[in-house]
Amino acid sequence: MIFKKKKNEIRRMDLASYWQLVWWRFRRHRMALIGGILLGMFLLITLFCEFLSPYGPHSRNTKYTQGSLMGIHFFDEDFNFHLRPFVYARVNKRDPVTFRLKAEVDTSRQWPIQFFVEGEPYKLWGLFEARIRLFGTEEGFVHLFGTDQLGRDVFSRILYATRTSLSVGAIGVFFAFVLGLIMGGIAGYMGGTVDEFIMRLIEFIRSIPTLPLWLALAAALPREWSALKVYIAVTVILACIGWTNLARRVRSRLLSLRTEEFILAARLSGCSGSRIISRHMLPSFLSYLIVDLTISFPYIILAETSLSFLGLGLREPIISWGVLLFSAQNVRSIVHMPWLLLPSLFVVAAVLAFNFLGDGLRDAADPFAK
Amino acid sequence: MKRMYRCLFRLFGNQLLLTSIVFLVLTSVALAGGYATVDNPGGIKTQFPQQLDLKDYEKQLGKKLKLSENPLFTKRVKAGKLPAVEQRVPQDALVVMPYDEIGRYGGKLRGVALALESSTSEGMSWRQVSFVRISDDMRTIVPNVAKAWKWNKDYTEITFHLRKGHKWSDGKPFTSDDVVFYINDIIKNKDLHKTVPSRWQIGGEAVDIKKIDAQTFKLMFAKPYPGFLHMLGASGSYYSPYAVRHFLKNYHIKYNPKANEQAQAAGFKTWQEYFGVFFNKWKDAVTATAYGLKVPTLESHIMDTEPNSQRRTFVANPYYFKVDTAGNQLPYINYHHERFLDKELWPIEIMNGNIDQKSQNMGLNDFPVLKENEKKGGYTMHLPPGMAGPVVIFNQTHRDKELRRIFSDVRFRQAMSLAINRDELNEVLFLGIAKPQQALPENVPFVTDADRNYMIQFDLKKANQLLDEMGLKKGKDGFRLRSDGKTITILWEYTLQYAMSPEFPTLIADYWKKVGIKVLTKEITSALLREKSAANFNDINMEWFVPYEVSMISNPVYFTPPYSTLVPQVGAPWLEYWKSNGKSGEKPPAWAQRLRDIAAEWKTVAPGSKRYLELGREMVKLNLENLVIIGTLGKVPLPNAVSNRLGNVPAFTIDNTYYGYAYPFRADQWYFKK
Repeated sequence: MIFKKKKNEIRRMDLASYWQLVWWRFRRHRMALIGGILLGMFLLITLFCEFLSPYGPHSRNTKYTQGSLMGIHFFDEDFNFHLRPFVYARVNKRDPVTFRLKAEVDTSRQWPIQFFVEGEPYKLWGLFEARIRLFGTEEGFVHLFGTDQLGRDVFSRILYATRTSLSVGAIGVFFAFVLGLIMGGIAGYMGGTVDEFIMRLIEFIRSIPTLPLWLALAAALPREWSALKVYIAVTVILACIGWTNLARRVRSRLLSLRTEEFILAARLSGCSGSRIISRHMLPSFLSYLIVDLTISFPYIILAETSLSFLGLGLREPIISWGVLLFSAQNVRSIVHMPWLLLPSLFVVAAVLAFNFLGDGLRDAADPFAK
Repeated sequence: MKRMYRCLFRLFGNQLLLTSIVFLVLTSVALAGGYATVDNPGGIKTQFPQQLDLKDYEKQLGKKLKLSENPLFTKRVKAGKLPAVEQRVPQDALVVMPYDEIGRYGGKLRGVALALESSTSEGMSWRQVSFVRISDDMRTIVPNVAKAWKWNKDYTEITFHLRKGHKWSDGKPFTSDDVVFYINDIIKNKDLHKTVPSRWQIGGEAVDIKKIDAQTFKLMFAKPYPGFLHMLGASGSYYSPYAVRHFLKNYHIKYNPKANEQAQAAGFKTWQEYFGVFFNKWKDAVTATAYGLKVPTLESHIMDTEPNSQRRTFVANPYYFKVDTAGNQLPYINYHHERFLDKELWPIEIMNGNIDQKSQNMGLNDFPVLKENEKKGGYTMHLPPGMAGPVVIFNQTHRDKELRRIFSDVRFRQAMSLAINRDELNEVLFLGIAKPQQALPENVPFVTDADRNYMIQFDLKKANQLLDEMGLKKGKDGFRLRSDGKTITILWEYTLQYAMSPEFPTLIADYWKKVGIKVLTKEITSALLREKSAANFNDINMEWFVPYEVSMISNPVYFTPPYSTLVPQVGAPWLEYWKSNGKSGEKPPAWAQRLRDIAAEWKTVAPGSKRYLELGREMVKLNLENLVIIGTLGKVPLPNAVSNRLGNVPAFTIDNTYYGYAYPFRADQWYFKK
């Protein structure tokens, strides 16, 4: 049996395409798989955050401002199992001495959690009007991650912020990718003075410490700009710095490929420059580029988060992880509303997930390596 | 000790003085109890609350008061570098009663501010002096640097007496010449002030001064100026009418013909610039640079090291003119130490017990966490009433014609006021302890509860009705439209200084959305906002201070157009019209013109008189009828953290800029307990 299987597998290996090999190799990398799954979830959140969040990001629950986390229960106090999960009712009370608002749990009342409930209306992707939300309550309210100063649901806000942060990352990486391909391609293919110039430019950009550079660029954004304009500008700024790594990688690959025999063959066959690059050179190192992309993703996300955290990036009403954390950087939040720091967990998860995935992809991209 | 003293007092009653002398002999501790305090004046009678002149006090004591000094100076006195305390303190020294007990010398009072010239008023209020002072009853004007004054019958002339032997911190005498110098060579100098500041003008004419002798002078006004003392008393030392002549004249062109060359040699363009580093209306500007080290002062503490962006330090002034009832020269506390930190770090520093007193610019939201950590940090939190909550002032002279039409329609402003849910606002942002009300002067006899409650109810139906009446139709998305069919979009640019928190505009915008008004909020810098307000570019202004009676009497500008001394809050073009006598700008509407006229008359009317009340009523009526300022909440408490080690600190009854934060509560007699 064992022998047979082994024999089969060898055969499969021999017949498998490059991408199949990559996939098999990738599958063996457990952390990368976990990272991939996590990212899949993030992608779902990004696509369907309106549906997944029980409330709108700006709607306030005045009965539960500064409310703490609400745990979901399946068992009540007497250990009776409930098929339908529930949350205990909460009443916000103000301390007569310190004037602190504190949520009191009322275990005598349960608010069952309903699925596919009609909630606040929203427009999915700005196109389809809908009301159905994944979960919610008919009676009372459910705030899994508590609420902020104004009584806005932190859970919903984090989901919306996920969309912003990841899309800023994606757009930033995309710009960086395109810019890196073009600049690196030009440098690698043309060589000579052009190459020299682009390389020095890259070195110059990379020699500037990144944080001050981001700060300077972000501070240059006029405060009068609308949140949307700032959003676009921030992604462009991030891309402007992010492209250098990629351009170098592209250039070095191109330089080494230029001397390969199959390129020489293509050239002798009369292929044009652009055809050589796009048909012969690019496919042979595309996998490396993908790896590079996944690895540069977390940098862009962190960059956005730190910029917004410092109050120089995105601003309300657009909410990203950084924006959420920005409003939590004071003593009262840390002492009395620590749940406002939950977005940081999402940042950590996303960065780790991308790194694991990138790691796995890098190994998998070269399936013939031992 | 105090209890013992009280028992003795009960037993011996009027024989208190005897008791105290016996006590003094018995204990032979100079800094112990047994002397008149605010808590227990023990028969000492004073004309003004809590203080009296040395001679008067000695008369009541029936003996000469033996003066003693801070051990900090003893060494220098023995070395002959400093005269004895009897020569340093004026013959007419001001005797102040400590609040609870005679203090002990020593210690360092630690405070915090934002920067060298930002949020420093409270630190200044610890050491500041002024000509006259508002007592802690927030009404009575009491002598301070000035010893006494006398008005003529129609309030056009006031004669002041200074203290004999009063000295600047460099030991040179402080006399009438310093006042004459201030009025004639600073206030009336065309190079330093293009026009004489309005507080020194009445009926369009500048004040005149006549020196009578070294300690006496007379100020003369063209028209009655009964609010003059209030002007001097309010806002602390900014308006103190004296300047250190023997020092400043070296930099003044009138006394030093080479002042310009000297300024250029020092790296300044003109003598005015150089003069400006030694003298400024804002006292913290003088102590913002190392130049300030040279400038003699009358304040309780003198800057002793070069200030930098992290800290500024002060040491007790050996020539300070006040003593306590036991004859100890004040101040008790040796050093003041002011640090500059980001506002979010203040609560942490207070909780760690690194700040001895702080209230200015504290956020009410930090109160719960500070209160919970009182014991750990060794401080006590108080909640004295501070200022009013944020207000909203629509720009009625907007450059955009359509927005101007909307904003200047009183129905719009009424609707906006009615659409605000003040109770919820109070709960969410002000711990539920502020009071919903309109923006009206505080502590004045001419404002009623009905005024305060005018249009503060939360009434969406009425608000919608008013907007409908105006013809502002709703568009497809539920937002109301301008007459050109575009959505009305209000761009609300705010600064945290006046909005207090970004949540405030967010909440208000949310309320207004419910009546179909679209608002975009955006935080910008104070400087930019002021530029925009001055250029008439803003949709909404917020830079308004609620006037209290003292500031109302001396200058009603916060209740009449343009509603601010810094930047017009309403009617920038109107102000231009008035300033140019109608040559440029725009003609203001009748109500604004009337308020402007009232303001002019108001200054000449005696506080508390019938006419004063009439004019006050009319101002209230016109302001409410036009709802120029939309108020939200009043009497917003200001958290005040006071170290438990500090003695003689009374509970602050009002804590705001007009009264100079800690100033009415006399930081010069605070002390550190053992």
